[in-house]
Amino acid sequence: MISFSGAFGVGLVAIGAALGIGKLASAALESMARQPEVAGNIQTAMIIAAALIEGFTFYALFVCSGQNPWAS
Amino acid sequence: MSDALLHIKDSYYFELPKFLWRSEREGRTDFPEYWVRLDDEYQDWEASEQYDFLATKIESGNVVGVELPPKQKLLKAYQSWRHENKNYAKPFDRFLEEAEGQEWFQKPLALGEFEKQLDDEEGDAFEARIEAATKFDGNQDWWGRIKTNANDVERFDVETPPWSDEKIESYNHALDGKVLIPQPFGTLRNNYQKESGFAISKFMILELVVAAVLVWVFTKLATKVQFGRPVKKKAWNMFEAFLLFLRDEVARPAIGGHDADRFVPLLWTIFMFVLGCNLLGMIPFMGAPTGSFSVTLAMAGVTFATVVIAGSARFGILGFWKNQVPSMGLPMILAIFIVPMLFLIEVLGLFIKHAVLGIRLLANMVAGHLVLLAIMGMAVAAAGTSTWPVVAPIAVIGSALFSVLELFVAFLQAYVFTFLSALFIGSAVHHH
Repeated sequence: MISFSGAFGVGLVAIGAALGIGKLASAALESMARQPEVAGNIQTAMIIAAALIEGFTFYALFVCSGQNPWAS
Repeated sequence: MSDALLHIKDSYYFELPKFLWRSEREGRTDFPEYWVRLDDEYQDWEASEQYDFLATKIESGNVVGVELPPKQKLLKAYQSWRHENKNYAKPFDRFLEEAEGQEWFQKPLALGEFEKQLDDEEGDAFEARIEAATKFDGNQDWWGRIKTNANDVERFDVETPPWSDEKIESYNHALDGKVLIPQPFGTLRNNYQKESGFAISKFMILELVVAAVLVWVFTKLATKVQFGRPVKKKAWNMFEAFLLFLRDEVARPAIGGHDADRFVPLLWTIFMFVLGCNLLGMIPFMGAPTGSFSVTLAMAGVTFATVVIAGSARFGILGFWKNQVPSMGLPMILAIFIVPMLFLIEVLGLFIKHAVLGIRLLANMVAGHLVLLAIMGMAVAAAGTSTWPVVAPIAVIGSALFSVLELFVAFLQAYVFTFLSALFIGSAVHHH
């Protein structure tokens, strides 16, 4: 099972990132519904936060896919 | 996985459709030098040459404690080592330096027997050995010299019989469609790695193309708006809209009103260059230069340099570092413990923030292209099977849709990079 550490890692990273960005999106949508006039600002901030989260998600994905026993 | 990455990695050739650029080389001298060096006939010849040189050196008594195995046995061991997948086309000197059964060579090499000084030799004995050795060849590292002497493609061409037609045919087949970039300043080890010197790669040429296009477009735009005239056509309006957006929504809010205008040209350049490089990845047969660590970390380095220089110009060299820690008005007892810790965290954070800036850009570009590769790879894997008529349309449509997402990601990543750069520059020129 240790040899599949890469695959487990990728799964965990995906769960973490999806949860994080999901929470972010839900908060953004809720606040856009409460106050439609600042929807533009909120959308920008949401995109930026999502990009930041994805940044280190991809980095973790890289590291984990390197652990794949069939990766040379 | 790493083979798939080759499409995204940097290379020393441009790829074109095969029917547009056929390789019709006829003899050994037509092939590039590094290609000949990877051929197994050449490597066997080179191995034999290196063995002969090594044997003469060892016999001349110039080195102690090295027993040379017999020639045929060593060459056979080398050939079976080379057959393994990960040792494909590695030359004899790497076999001697890296393979497992070759301790008779690796130990003396590590101990420096093949250079001129042993580990535990005193100054006088060393000088005496240098004197004795200079009578033979006067060079410090003779294993290195053996390697360069044996690496002689012209002599190989003269001394050995020419390649068979099938071999030339298969090499032509492998080189079809590859436009090799001429390398006046360096030598290559294979299509993807350089051996020494300064080798010109595909991404370097693509970056120059992007830079040339940017210079041309924006000098034209600048002359058009020079005297406050409004721009007329759609394309120029689009560029002007980009630039105004960056100045008004990104630079001025992040850096603050009167400082922003100094940094706006830099931010414009960063945004346009990153955007151009990302978009080149969408064009077939080109590649995204931002898919390489060197490019993205260099861009992040530019931002880092701007941050440090602008901060130092505003606060003085030491003052910039002192500015990293906010002044909180702590009582002295707490401050002694907390401020150094905070300082360390902030400085570490500074370096990490900028490095992650580069990594984020790289990861987004490479990951997007990798997924695209994986989707098309499904169609390739189904080739020849009965599921192909179902898989192929899905793969093509999926790739097309994903490419639209990639387009969005290209713009988004350029925007995020620029916005974060503006944020970092802003926090460097303001008191915390």
